[in-house]
Amino acid sequence: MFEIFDGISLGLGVATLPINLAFALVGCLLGTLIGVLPGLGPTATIAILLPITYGLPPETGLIALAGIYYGAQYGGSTTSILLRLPGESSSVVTALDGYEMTRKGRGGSALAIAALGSFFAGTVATIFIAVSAPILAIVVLKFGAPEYFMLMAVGLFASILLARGSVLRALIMIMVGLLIGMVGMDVNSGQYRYTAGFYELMEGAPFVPLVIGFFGIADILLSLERAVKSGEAVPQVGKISRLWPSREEMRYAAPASARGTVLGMLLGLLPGGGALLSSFVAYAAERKISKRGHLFGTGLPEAVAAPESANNAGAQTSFMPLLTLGLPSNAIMALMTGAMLMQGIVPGPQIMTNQPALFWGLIASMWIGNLMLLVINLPMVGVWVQVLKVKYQYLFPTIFVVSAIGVYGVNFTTFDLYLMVLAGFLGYLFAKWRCEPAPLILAVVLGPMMEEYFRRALLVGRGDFSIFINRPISLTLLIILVVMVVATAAPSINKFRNEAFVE
Amino acid sequence: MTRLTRRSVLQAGGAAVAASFLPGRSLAEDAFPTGDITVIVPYNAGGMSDNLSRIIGERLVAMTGKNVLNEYKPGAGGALGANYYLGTKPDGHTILQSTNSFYSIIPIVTKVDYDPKTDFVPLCLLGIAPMVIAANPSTGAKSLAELIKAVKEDGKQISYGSSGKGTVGHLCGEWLAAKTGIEMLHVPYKGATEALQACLADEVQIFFGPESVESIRAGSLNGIGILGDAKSVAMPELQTTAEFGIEGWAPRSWHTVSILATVPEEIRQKWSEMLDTILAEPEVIEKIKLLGLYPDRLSLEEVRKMTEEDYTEFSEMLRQFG
Repeated sequence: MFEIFDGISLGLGVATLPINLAFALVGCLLGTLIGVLPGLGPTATIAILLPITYGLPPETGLIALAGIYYGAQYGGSTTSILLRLPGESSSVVTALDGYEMTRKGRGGSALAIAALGSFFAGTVATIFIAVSAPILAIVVLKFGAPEYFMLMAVGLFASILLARGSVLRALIMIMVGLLIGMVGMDVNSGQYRYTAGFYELMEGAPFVPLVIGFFGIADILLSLERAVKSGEAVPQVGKISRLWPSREEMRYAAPASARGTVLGMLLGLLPGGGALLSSFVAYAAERKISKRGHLFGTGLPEAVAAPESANNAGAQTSFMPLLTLGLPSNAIMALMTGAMLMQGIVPGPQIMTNQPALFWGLIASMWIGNLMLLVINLPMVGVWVQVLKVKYQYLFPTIFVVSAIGVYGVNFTTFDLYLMVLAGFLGYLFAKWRCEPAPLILAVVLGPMMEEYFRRALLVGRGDFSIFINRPISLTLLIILVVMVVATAAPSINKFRNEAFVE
Repeated sequence: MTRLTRRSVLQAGGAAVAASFLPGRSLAEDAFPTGDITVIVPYNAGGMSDNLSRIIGERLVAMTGKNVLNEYKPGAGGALGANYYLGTKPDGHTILQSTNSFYSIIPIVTKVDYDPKTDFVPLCLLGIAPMVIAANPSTGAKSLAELIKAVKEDGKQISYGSSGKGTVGHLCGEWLAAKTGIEMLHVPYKGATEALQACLADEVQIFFGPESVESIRAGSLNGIGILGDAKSVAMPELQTTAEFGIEGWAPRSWHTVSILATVPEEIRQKWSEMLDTILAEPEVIEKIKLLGLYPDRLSLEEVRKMTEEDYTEFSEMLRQFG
């Protein structure tokens, strides 16, 4: 226990050095900026800016890069909420209720809830990391292919809950998403599937153009149609009433934020998609728990608070596999590895003992960074909301151009631009058919991972299905899945029984 | 041409001088590079190739005073970036961060636009990635002999993880299984990190590659050997497969910088000289070692020989197991 306090005080000492504070601020500002710009993500930014850290002390460099990473988590929610334009996969679900809040004139409130929720989550996650870092490594290794598969199955099932209205339509969208997810190389056989000869599709359907197309571009088309047909103001944002959340909104948002934080923290620990799942799962769980779950998707504050807290908590804990095992859990963590190596530090299991100043300094800076982000973002709420007052003749072309630049910036290929436009038209048609894109997006992400883990589980289990029930964590997740299926199906079964009895 | 750029003047001047004073050093050669340098990295940012390119890039900036830009073209195991590189201007300002698999594995496994024997040439050897054999302690094996005994006599089921079918890691497993007569199940992962993690978690028992060294040092994996005949500098206690008695070529992985064969000879020469100077710097050698690579220095002739050997051996293996 004393070691931890020693560590934290060492870390705070390192993180509050003026140079580290300055670079944390620069990182946070940059992160916020790229988060706000749709498409342009933290991975590209960190890759470009990495050389700047060569001349800095290792702690300072990593603190700045980490600031970019979680700054992007904060900034990413802004366009999701105001323009239905998720820049990152983690803010896709934020767009669902956040944008509806904006349309009701509560955009400022949604932004404030997102920022406060993220800060709360960041604080709790940092404490969690500091206290339990040494044992977290063990938890990470308990997750093998069967556990991941079950986790993905739970996530995919939860995606049905993302949709409003018809379950059938949600299922159709999931199926389409799974098919799109099939595109690319099959890990097990090394064969390419449905690439139609495009090299660009060999690694799978690129994600960012799909998201920007289905959500952002489709929404522009719909808004324009409304404008042409009825001449109403676009975007239809209502009047911006109070900027800050009301007491009632906070009452709903606060517990949701707490639950989202716990989910995000735990899922963020898992390399390979854990952090990605956290916001989806938090949204779905909140919808099940909430008494007004049927109103989700119409602009509820708790539906913004839960996923926003979850993705920020997940972003913090996703550092743990790198810091405790030397295993980077995503592309950004891999870049952090690169930054360390350039400084002559080998990331590995011994980094905590060999580089205590770096380890604890980075952890302490996470909290300081979160505090900075709150201070940066709360006053900005009023500024961002002004964006909505821009006439759509100017706003829409701007969004389109900025999105195109962002999408191009991911892989530097025009193929992605065509795909974005195609996804935009498809998204427009889906909206006409009252099909929602969120379950589709989740299926695109989860489908290929589920298949990969399923086949790997059977491969290492040498074809024996009992591998899914012989392992405690896998079995627990399986039970959760079954309970979820039953709980979702029960009301309709009851309804059927009641109707049968009436007859 | 109405506008004379600095570069076109230099090139024209260089060509003229070269024509008049052959075979002496030409002006073009001295002036190279005349513009910014682009490094095509055919993998994701943050990977081994990216890290290597950054180490070299940092020194190139200092040496030439030009900007060095990394352009990431990940996809199709590296084939996408290589194809893209084939289409760039052969003026020597664009180079490809590559490995031996661009010459010996990728063209056989994936449909590519380039001919590995004629279109690209390696400019230097950046480092050799030692194929360390790491085993999860659950195998009880601390040496290759113990591993073979565990499988053959105790009937232990062993699987190994790699970063995909038809990668060097996969072929290391097939090679070792064939040479020692033990049975090992191949489990492909999306990358070396995932495969290493699976080995740490005992989902697979064996992992091949330089990435495991830190885990072996920390005691979470057992280092049981190393493929080939070169002793590990970092871990001299590891027995080589040659010492164990397996002779001849073994699967290997080495990193290089490649350039289009159509780039003029003198510019290629200049590149080799620049890279040689960089690779001789102690600081650079230290960093390459940190990545887990051996910063061995070989002549271009030796590199060419290695490339040819690898092509013959890997294509034979891929015909059998690919």
